[in-house]
Amino acid sequence: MLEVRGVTKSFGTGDTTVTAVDNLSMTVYDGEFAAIVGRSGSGKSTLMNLVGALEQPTSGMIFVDGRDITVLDQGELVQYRRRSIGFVFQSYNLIPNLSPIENVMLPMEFMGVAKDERRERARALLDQVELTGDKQHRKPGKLSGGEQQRVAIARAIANKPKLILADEPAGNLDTQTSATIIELLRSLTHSAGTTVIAVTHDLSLADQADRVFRLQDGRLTDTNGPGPAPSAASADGRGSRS
Amino acid sequence: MSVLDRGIRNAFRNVTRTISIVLILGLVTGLAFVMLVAHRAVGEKASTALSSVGNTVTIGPPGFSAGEGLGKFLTSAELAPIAQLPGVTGINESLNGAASASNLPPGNSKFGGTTQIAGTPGSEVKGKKTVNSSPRSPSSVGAPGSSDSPVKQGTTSLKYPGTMAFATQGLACEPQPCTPPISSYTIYFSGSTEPTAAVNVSASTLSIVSGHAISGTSSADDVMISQEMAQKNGLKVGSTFTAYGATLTVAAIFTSDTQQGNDTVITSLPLLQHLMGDTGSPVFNAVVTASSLTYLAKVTSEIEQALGAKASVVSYVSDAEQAVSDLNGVQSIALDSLVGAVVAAVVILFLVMVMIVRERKREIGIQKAIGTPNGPIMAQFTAEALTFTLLGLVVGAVIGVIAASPVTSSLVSHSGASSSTGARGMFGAGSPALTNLTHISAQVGWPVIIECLAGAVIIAVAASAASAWLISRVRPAEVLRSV
Repeated sequence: MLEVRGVTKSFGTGDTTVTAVDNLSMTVYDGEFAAIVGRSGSGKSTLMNLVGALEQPTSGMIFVDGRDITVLDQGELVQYRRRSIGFVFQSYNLIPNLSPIENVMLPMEFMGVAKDERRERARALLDQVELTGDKQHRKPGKLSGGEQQRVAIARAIANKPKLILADEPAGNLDTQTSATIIELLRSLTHSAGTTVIAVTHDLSLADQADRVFRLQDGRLTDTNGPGPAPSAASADGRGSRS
Repeated sequence: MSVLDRGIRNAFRNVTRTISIVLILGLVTGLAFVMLVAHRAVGEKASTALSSVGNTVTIGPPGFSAGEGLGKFLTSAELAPIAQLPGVTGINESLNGAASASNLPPGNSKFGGTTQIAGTPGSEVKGKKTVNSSPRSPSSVGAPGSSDSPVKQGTTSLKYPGTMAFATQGLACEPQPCTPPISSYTIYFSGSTEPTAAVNVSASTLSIVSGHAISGTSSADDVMISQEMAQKNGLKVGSTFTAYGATLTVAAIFTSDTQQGNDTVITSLPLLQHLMGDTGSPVFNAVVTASSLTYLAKVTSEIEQALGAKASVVSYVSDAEQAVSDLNGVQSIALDSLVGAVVAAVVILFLVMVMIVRERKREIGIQKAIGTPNGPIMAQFTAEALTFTLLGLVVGAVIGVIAASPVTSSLVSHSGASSSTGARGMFGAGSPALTNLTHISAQVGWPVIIECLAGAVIIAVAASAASAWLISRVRPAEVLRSV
């Protein structure tokens, strides 16, 4: 379970201080597919970075499975990101000179997984996201946007994380591909019980979320969803957004 | 794919850039390579020259070192206190003589019968070497102006064994017959307190092959002759022959690595002094050995004080230091250039790595975001830097192999070092190592290659330090935000 408790994140720029996330609290239950929506600059990405331990909050606490990640040291944070978090970015962020298989193998390298096993698992994960055959060995630049995002999702789930943080996962994709990717993310909550939190402008994605958090000026203005019944919410594959 | 694999593969992401970097590094490391080889070669030459002269001081009669007429010979009694000086570990006193051989050179119908003896009045020996620079050469056995030098003309029943004949004027000719014909062959006699010292017969090695070495202080009529001399004269250990009117016994047969050594009869110093007249136990020269090079200057000074104007004291270390001073200059230039090249390589690679890290900040951010620690990311960039450096080293090594020798020769030839440096006075430098100082063999050996490899690793690591610092400062949230 993810619990954000009274988190504030401020950035100092010269004499002025900008508060990107302002005393925000929220809870996402295991296996939920949650969407965070809001205008540009509303603090969505900052909130994702805080949950993903890419940034430290100015104040507040973030509990992941009961563990406060805001008090972890740098080494523990790296380990937390490696074991517990999978990132999916709008611009895919694959390593350009590595093949899809090598990109997916990368997070497993520091988990002590043997090279052959890494390769085998990467192949299976790419099969799972339906990137098969020769495409598994092409350079990312020779794949379509949707294919690259599949690779990114395979990489995100390589270490079987509890939480996938997807920042505009369908932002650069056409409608059909976007739907495929969203379905893929959603399916992870079913198949692996993974919690997925997606930041999006895309209302179609938000429509499919179990819970939708609406942000404005760093504050949570609205929450729609069934509450703490992830398995029930996941069972029908849709949130109860009004 | 491991960190190392990724680093090496990254080095070839942009082939054009990689070639450019490798070529630039290759030129710089080539310079470093050449200078390292030059530095080592020149250093070894200078070191060899210095060490070859050893920690010895040579004492001779006045004029000994200046190439002028020799003064009065020293005596064993005058040299006795020298052995007691602090820092002196040994003294080899010697005297030289020469006697006409019983066989005649080709083209000569009569036996000349003249004898060349050190200090013989009236002998017409020039002050400069003509053939052999050794103190034992014919040019050294006469001493114009040595008014009370031992005098005795000698002949010997021995036949001359060699192929090169020395005329009475101390000149050599080969092939024979000489034109004009020389009157006789000369066989040399070397009397020494250390008869087995190869330097007595201008050789670098002297080995007893049969019999027993004679004592340098004994007055017995025992001598040592070369194997060549023994074969020519049908002599063996225990055989006798005559010289200076005395009957001498072959106590040992030796081999040496020079013709002059094989032409020489070795006796004890007292025996030769006796054969040559025994007028005050004359000594032509004495080689004093100091306990170490450190004491050499002090020992030299003390000997000069003890003997004053009675002797000429020569320390070849000062000659050698003078001779190699130009080489030291070359070595210094090579070292400066080497350091400069290494620094240039570090700076070039440093800038390249900074550029590459800045270019790949986003990738670094991604790797950090997915849980890669700083260490492996830094190692990946270090592997990339090392790949550039090693490729540059290969190019540099090729340049080095091609250019090391000519560049070293050029540096040395322009340094002022003389090819004949070391020649001094009528007796020369006394050390062949001080001649041909400009003839330096600059070869690329394994030690140089290993040093360059170690240097390449250091350069790569040093240049990667900056990139490591930049990597540690990359904040994934910032670089991933800046899409």
